[in-house]
Amino acid sequence: MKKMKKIKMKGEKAQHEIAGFVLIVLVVSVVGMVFFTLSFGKGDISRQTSLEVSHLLGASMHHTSKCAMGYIPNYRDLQTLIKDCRKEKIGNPVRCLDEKSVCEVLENELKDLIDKGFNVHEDSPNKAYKLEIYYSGGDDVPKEGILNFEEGNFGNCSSVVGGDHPIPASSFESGNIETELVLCKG
Amino acid sequence: MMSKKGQLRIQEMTNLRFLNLGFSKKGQLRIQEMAFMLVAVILFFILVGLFVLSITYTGLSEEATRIAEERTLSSLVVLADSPELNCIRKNNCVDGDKFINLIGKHAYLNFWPYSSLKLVKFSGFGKDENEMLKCTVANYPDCDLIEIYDKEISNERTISTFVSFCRKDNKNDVVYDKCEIAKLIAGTKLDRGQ
Repeated sequence: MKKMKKIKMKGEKAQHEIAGFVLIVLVVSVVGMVFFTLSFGKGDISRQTSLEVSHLLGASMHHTSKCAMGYIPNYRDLQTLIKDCRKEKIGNPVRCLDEKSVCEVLENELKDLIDKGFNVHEDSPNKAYKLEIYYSGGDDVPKEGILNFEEGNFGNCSSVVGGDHPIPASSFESGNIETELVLCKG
Repeated sequence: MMSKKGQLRIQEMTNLRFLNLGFSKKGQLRIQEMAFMLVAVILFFILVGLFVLSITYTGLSEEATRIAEERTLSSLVVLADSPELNCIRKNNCVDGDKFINLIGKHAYLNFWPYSSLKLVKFSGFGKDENEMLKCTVANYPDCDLIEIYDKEISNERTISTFVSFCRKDNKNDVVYDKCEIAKLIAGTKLDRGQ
């Protein structure tokens, strides 16, 4: 009788151990799932390429600016202004007919195009943007900055989309002038 | 697990002590079997969950949506580059003087695979459609929206892309190309389930 009681107690203990084991496995799996979800979900926001952004940049290159050279209506388009701005940056100042700096006109026009094109402000889906224009002579040559500016706050972006548009630097020079625009989506 | 059960059965037959313990051992075995089964099922679901998570978070579905969107947008670039609309020596550019002359041309209603086709000039950016001034041959280019046609279907999805919009202008008796950015908007009929 005593022996039977002992065996019964032993069996119950084993059952408890098995139940405990299953419970531990369950708890570990749930914790694991939560960990995986959080670790994947809170990853860095990767930049996605957007054709819409590239199209805006491409279209804006032909945009006729307010900067006339020599006479009216010899208005420069933005891609020519970018090249002129590069000349200004390397020490050959180029001025519009109204004596304004080409880089200044370029910056103002691009800001206007991007602001209105993507309707960038705090309450809209596009919260902020960053634009960078640089000359790239190849992989071994360092980038030569021409113009860069940003608007808005990149702090709370749910996603970041970007696009670029290359233009040939000149017919005598290899390399391209790259225009890159990054948009912060809220 | 099967071999263990087999070993236990052999022991049961040879070891007399098992005669007394047979019932509880069998019960334990069943509990063990159930426990291992539960663990296996849970592990299976964890693996399936991880698989689904990895597919979701590697952005496979996002990538598919992006590619589909790019294909749709590319069709608009093809439209802008078509001989009816394109500018000379410029890609992704709509010739305003050609475009304005397409208004009211009913032959184009079934020419392009779109249910509506319009263009918002730079002056119309940031305005609601009812605030925009519609273009006619009379008020062009001092207007915001050029509507070529609209079949006015209810289940329509619109796609838009930025294009250059160029026209001939005149200042100080000199004719020059005046270009601006514009938004080309085309509507497509949604099929059921889309």
